[in-house]
Amino acid sequence: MNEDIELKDPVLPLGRPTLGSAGETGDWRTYRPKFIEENCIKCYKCWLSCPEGTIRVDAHGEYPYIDYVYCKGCGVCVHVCPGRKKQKALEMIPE
Amino acid sequence: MKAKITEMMERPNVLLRGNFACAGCGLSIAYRTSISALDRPIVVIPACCSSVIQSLHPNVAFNVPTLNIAFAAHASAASGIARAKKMRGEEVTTVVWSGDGGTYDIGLATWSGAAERNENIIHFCYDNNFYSNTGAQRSGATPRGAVTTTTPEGKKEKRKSITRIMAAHDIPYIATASIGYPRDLYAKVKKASTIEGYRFILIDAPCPTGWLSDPAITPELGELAVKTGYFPLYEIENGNLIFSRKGEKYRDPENRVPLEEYLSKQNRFKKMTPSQIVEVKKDIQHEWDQLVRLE
Amino acid sequence: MCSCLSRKEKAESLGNDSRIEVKEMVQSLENPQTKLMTGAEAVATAAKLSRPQVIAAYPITPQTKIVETLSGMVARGEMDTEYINVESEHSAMGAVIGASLAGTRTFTATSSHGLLYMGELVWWAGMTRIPVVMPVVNRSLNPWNIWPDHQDAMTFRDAGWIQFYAKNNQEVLDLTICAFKIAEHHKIWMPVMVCLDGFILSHTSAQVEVPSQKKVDNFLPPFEPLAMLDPDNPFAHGSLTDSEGIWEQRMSLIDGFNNAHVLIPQIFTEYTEKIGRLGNYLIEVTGDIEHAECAVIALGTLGEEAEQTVEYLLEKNIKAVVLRPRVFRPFPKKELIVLINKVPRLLVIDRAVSFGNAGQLAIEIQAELFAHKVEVKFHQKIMGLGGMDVNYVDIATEIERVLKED
Repeated sequence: MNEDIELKDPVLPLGRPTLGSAGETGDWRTYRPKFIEENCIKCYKCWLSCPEGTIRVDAHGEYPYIDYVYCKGCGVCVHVCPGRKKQKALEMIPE
Repeated sequence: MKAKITEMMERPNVLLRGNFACAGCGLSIAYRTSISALDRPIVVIPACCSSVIQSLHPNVAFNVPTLNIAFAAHASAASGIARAKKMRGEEVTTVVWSGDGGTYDIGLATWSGAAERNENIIHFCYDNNFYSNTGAQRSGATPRGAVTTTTPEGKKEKRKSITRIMAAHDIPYIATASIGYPRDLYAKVKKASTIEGYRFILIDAPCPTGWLSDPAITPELGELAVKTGYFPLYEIENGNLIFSRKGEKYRDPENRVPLEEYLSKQNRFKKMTPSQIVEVKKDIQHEWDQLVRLE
Repeated sequence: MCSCLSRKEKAESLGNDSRIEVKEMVQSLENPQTKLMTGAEAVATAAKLSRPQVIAAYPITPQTKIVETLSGMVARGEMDTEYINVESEHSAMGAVIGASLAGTRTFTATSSHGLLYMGELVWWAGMTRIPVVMPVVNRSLNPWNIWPDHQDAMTFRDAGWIQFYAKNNQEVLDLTICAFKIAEHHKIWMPVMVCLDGFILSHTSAQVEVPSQKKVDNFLPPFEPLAMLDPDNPFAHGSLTDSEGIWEQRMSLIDGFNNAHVLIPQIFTEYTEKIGRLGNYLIEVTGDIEHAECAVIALGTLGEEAEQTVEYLLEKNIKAVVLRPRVFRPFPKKELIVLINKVPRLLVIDRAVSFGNAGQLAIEIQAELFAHKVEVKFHQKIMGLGGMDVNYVDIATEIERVLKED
């Protein structure tokens, strides 16, 4: 052990919060949710139930939109959408 | 209970997009809703699906300080954090975020000790009824009849009642909630955060990958579990049980949606015989009977 | 064990060698800084002086007195510490890992089965760099037996912990205080295990010079975390890591031990200057190494017992020397080889076994002898398992056997 050698700093097992930590997970989709604005009643059930948080709402009162870079296409948003007069504001379409 | 959606929208985003969770993941909904309700959370995560979906080092999807720890060490590590932060005079909310394996089975002693000491911790158990991150093996939370990779012909025993075990510790707050009712879940977490001591919230978190169900119906399965009486919603405050408004009417079996509707949407129950379904209905009624006694 | 002396002869030889000078003892007791205390009390006193902010522990014989003493100090308000009475050793280590990462100085203590039950998290603390200090009161493993050997701590020699083995209660106190400074050094940043033999030290009273709080504070500054769980600066600690990440962390741990090897003597020196006694050596040498016919290498109280053997053998005109590593991890290879090169014969005594091979100390020294092509006659002996009594005459008998054999 040479005492003149530079002592290295420890590498600690720390990870930092990162968007897209598993990559652009939009690649996983086979179907995508399509938003139909005229049927949206702004109940935000899609926002509440999206597992990924890819349904975005800029402010309360605004229409939601979808971050297709990360949306995995699970279809939860479509399933929970009550729509207007039984016409859903979201539908699944093939990629 | 029902939180205001405007309030929920103003909370920070705790689960970053583009993580390793499966499409339609129930626990992701549970995590987003619960952790966002807390002020300055520090989250302890034992081995469970959440240790996988937070993604690969050095990137993580959880936007809050997170300590990953061994399976049976969640509540002990959280005890250390809570005491240390008290010693440092820092206001934080110390959280255990565990799956059912870590709560019902291997981590039972560690949380029991922490609950007995009434450590200042909120313990969440997202219950997907089995060991999900290792690929769906039987746990103490697996219901009778469910096929898992270690019960290929369906589990022969009923699932244990973790909330009643927890209630025997006389901790200040216990609640059950479901990702089928996120506003109820959020409100219960908010309420828990105003109480000191050991608090426990059990969240029904359907897992399409292991339950062999359509990812799109994850929230619906949460709702159906409540409506069939399979997963009662209630709070136990200082020993008194109060059924939640959302699920109270299902204490009367007459009001319950037929269990078959819930079971038929999940292929894990496809091997169940009619007599087993009768057994599960008895299990459900037994749990309600026991809960009513705590009212 | 020793077959050449009868029990009666042994007792007589021990009785004739009453080395505690009563007068000296009374004098030192009049000095307010010198106290008569057990090893367990020495640990507790050292811990108190080091101001840990969170202690979590679970009782086990013969560690019990440590946790009883500390919990009493906390309850009486003599320590500003959060004391967590956990329900198991597994949870004790879990709690100190959490508390350490939340930004506090942490302490626990255990023994034997307790250490094994804690095992998963002993590794967790080692691999993820948690600077906790943990005395281990060495005790045999199953079946039930409460007496000392090193099998418990040796089971964890590879777990990424610095390991000290103390020879007496004074060294227990000094090494425990040093352990905090070493664990928390930003170039080391890893857990430290201070091993002391059950009962022989933990339950036996001896004189211990206790430094003042002022002196210890001057030596040991407040805890300064390298990384802390903080809502204002979130990170995930120990999340799922791929092969490259694990490789990087393991290589860093190897570097950390190299750093510790350089820094421990410096920290021992600082302790000696600011507080006293300790000395900067990793291996204690007792006897005339330049003329020794045989060197004995042993850990902990066996090493101290061997010191008496040196004096005893001098009366028989046999020159022996004791090399007692008090730091076992990092293994003081360089220092050992320098010393071993001066002697013709070596007797390594282990108080533990790597079953299927030999004593751990012997195995590791043999590896160094081979690597450095050292010409020395090598002998090994396993002694004192399960608390079997080993006195200086037993060790002398072994040395005489070694001398006769070649």
